[in-house]
Amino acid sequence: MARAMYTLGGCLLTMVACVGFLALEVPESRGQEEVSNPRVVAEDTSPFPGGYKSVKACRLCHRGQIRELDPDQDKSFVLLNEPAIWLTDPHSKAFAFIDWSDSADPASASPSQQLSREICAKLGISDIHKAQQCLSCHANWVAALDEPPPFYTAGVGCESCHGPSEAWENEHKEPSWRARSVAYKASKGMVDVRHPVQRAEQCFSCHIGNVEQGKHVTHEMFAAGHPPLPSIEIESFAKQMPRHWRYLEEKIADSQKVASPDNADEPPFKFFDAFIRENYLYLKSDGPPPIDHNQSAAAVVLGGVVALREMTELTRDLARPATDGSRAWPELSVFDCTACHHELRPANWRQTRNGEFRPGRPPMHAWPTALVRLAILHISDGREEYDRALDDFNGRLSALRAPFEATPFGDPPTLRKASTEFSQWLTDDLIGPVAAKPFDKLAVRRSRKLLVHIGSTESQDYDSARQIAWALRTLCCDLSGRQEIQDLFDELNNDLRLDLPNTQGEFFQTATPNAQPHKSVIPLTGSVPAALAIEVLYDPAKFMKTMKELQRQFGLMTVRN
Amino acid sequence: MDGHRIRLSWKTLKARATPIVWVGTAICVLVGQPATRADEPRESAAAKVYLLESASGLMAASGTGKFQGARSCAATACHGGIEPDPRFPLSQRNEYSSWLDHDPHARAHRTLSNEKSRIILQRLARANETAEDRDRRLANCFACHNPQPAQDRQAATYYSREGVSCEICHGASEQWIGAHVVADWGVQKKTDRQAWRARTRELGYVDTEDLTIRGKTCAQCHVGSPDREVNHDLIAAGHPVLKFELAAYHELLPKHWRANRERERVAQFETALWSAGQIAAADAALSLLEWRAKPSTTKHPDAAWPELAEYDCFACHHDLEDPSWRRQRTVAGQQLGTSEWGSWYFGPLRQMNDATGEVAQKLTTLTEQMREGFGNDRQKVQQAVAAARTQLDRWSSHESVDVAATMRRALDKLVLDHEQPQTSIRAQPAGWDEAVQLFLAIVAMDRANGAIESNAIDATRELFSFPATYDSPYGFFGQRPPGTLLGGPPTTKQHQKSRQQIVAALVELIQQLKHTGN
Repeated sequence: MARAMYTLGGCLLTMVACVGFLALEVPESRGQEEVSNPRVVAEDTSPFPGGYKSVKACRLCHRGQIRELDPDQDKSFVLLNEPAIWLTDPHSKAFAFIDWSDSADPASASPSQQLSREICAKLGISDIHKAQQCLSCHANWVAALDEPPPFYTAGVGCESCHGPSEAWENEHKEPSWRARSVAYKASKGMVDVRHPVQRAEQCFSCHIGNVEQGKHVTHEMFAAGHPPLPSIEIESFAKQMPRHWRYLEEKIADSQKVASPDNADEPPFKFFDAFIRENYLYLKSDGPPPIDHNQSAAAVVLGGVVALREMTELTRDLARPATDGSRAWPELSVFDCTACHHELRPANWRQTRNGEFRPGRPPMHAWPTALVRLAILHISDGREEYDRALDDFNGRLSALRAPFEATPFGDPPTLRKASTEFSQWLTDDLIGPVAAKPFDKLAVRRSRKLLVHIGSTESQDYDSARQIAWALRTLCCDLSGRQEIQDLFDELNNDLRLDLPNTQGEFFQTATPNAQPHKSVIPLTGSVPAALAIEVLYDPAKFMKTMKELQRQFGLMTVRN
Repeated sequence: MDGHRIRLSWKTLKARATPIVWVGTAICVLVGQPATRADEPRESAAAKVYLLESASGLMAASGTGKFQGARSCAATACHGGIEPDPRFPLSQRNEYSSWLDHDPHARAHRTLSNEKSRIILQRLARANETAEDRDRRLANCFACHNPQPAQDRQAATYYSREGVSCEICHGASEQWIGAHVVADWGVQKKTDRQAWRARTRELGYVDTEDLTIRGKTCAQCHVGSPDREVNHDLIAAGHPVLKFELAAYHELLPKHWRANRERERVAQFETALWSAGQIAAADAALSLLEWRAKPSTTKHPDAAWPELAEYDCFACHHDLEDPSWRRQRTVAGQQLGTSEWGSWYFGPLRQMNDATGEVAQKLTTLTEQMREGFGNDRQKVQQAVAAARTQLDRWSSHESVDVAATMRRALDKLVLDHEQPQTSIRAQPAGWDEAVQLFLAIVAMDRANGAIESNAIDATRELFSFPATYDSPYGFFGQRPPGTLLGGPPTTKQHQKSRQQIVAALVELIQQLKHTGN
């Protein structure tokens, strides 16, 4: 008996020793080491400012190769290959591109690093590693943190979008996490990137700006050499990252691909019903989400409105003096770049276009309003209601524009008030209702029609034209077989550069058939001069013509059908 | 009356009807004729109240006499002759006819009826403005295109559609129209010009023989003055930009006086005219800025602060491109994203180095204020402008200072490579405005002496022309047309006109000037 006890005690001691040994190891120091069973990685007790643990922590488990499907039906819920895809994504190079500190010889630095060095010299930044105004976007060093997060040289990594992971890292490994409510996950710090509005807010926090998080490119930075921020259509940008996620229907399809005859009748993965219920709650349906809810279309339309809201809130926040007195008015980045920055020409299309702009007064950015009518269309039932809703919106937009025109560069208190009211209305009366209504095939078709109508009847500036063309391209995914329409999109791509540059010149195809491949290969280095040149060559009349042709093709389609 | 009929014959009818017809026609012609043509912009009577009340400059200051109208100068025996009269020593006696036939100023009011003006007004009109706003806007247009005195200063003969007519430059004539035909009118001119000028000024007469006064008169409209401006709103709506240089404009103006005699009489006439123009234009620009910086509820509805037209156009109005010459030019420590100010009107003045250099100092203070950016302190700007203007006035009207000579020296320093090469043009003009002003200065200096071949001047003038389809000196800083980056059409000859070329051409012209011992 005593011997058995000794043996048992010995075993227990050994087990405790083993566990204790494992507990001492810090995940960071392991680097790329293999871990046999992910669930046994010990909790790291060292403090993480802000809760950020870095890409390295994620890669301990998310280390699969591209295009791998786990033979286990349940495990195919998550591919675990996201960082591998992310490495082909420019976001992974966001810091590397601007890091000029490593290269001892300036001449050997890449063009973007040289540019970064120039910009820092003019702004008086001596060390790029300490420049929070740059690293807030380029490395997720948000305003709340005193120091950059761990392994910030990875650029824009997992936690930049998904939120700081310390509080939810262990829990999310369990399948039961899928059944948790979105509110619970948010309370742990996980951002709900499935929700089109939340995702848009995350992306736009850098791509448009967010003063609270310290992410903003000032006009001074542009004058120092920072490339101008392009307009962003969220779904096109997300697809071309390339995206490292699958939509719900793709997850279901993939799970069913590896289904064996034994479990073919079971739900595609564990906690399926609860997952649907919790994560698509915003669609206000009592059961599973409607089968033909087009998530891409929803993302396009909601992204369009959220862009306007984020831009409005940026104006509101920048019109407030900073507590350290550093922000003077006017902050010129709030105004439309090309309203001033264009060569003067006789017979200028800017002078002859729609009379809504007051001559001589720099207006706000035009492109965020390009897609809002799609949202108004979506929540309107019939033509009359749409007209009424559009009139109401135009009235509110005029009220927002008024302070921009009353005096050159506006008066900050008036701007703040107008921006606050407008963004509140957008959140309550437009974004909410649009998000709650599913996008079926009819909604997609109606949106397409409205877009070509807008594009073919109203003169657009370059950035607005891009928004319309990007949105159309996404909404026309199902028409990829029709050659005439593809040709028209090729023409639009040539004129507006709808394909974005990427790091490896290759577009990674996800495991699903309806992903959109790149037709052209555009290297990231050296892409800025060409992008700016194309903008200068933009001709509004040609864009309108192409849109009319597209409208005609849509008309023919209906006739044929 | 019984049995007595008047036989109505055609003869009788004609005799009776003719006077009636003539009288009737006369009444119709005199009464029915509208005061304005159908295509002219209509302003209400109240608009005239805004005109000239607060306008600065010589027009408002020219005494209290009434404006008679150009027609009161137009008698054939006075100034309305058909041909220039060589017999009369002072006047050619045909100034009115010459002005009416050849001078664009006589047609200035007609510009407001054309399509372009209509479009400008259309673009400026706002949805919710009052009739008063519209009147004020028109008043601003009329203030240059058809300046009119207030009602109580209009004589009965004054006709309100004359464009820029005699009294607008020469002063309201009520009190001197009689005096100026008397034989002893100009006698004091030769002995004590200043006193004569002061005496005649009280009568309302403007001494336009003096080049600085002439320049100031022109600059009131061609640069601007309080309640009379072309600002950024107007330019954005389609109005041409105002870039005034007296010698160049003067050269182009069909003259209604004996211009050759004037050139003979004044030593180095063109240079003197150039320097007078620099001072006059600078003074007008300062007075305009002073007015702009002062808040007021009575300005025209498109007046604004910050006033973007104060700044160099091309500092903002350029395509965004990479690589950008602007990036090469800015250095660490320089204010980023702000604009040049005062490059057109104050370049040469800044070069001058009078005894104390105070004017240049005050101008530097003002420039710093303006270069703070669009959020600068309006009050501080007002103070700096007032100081600069006072200093300029003091310097230019100081008797012991020979302004023309000083300006000539300044021009020499700028134009001819001297001991201080950093102030010469090889190091200097950074910008387009400076280059153009320098060219005009060289032309003025050459005019006075005829040193440079006209071919060389014409060739250099060609270099300054804007490329086709541009309203800007595109290519001046070495920009390439965007198509070349994407394999488009190659750089055209026009785009090759870079700053280096222009500076080289200017240096060449200067060498020619120098060689003739100028």
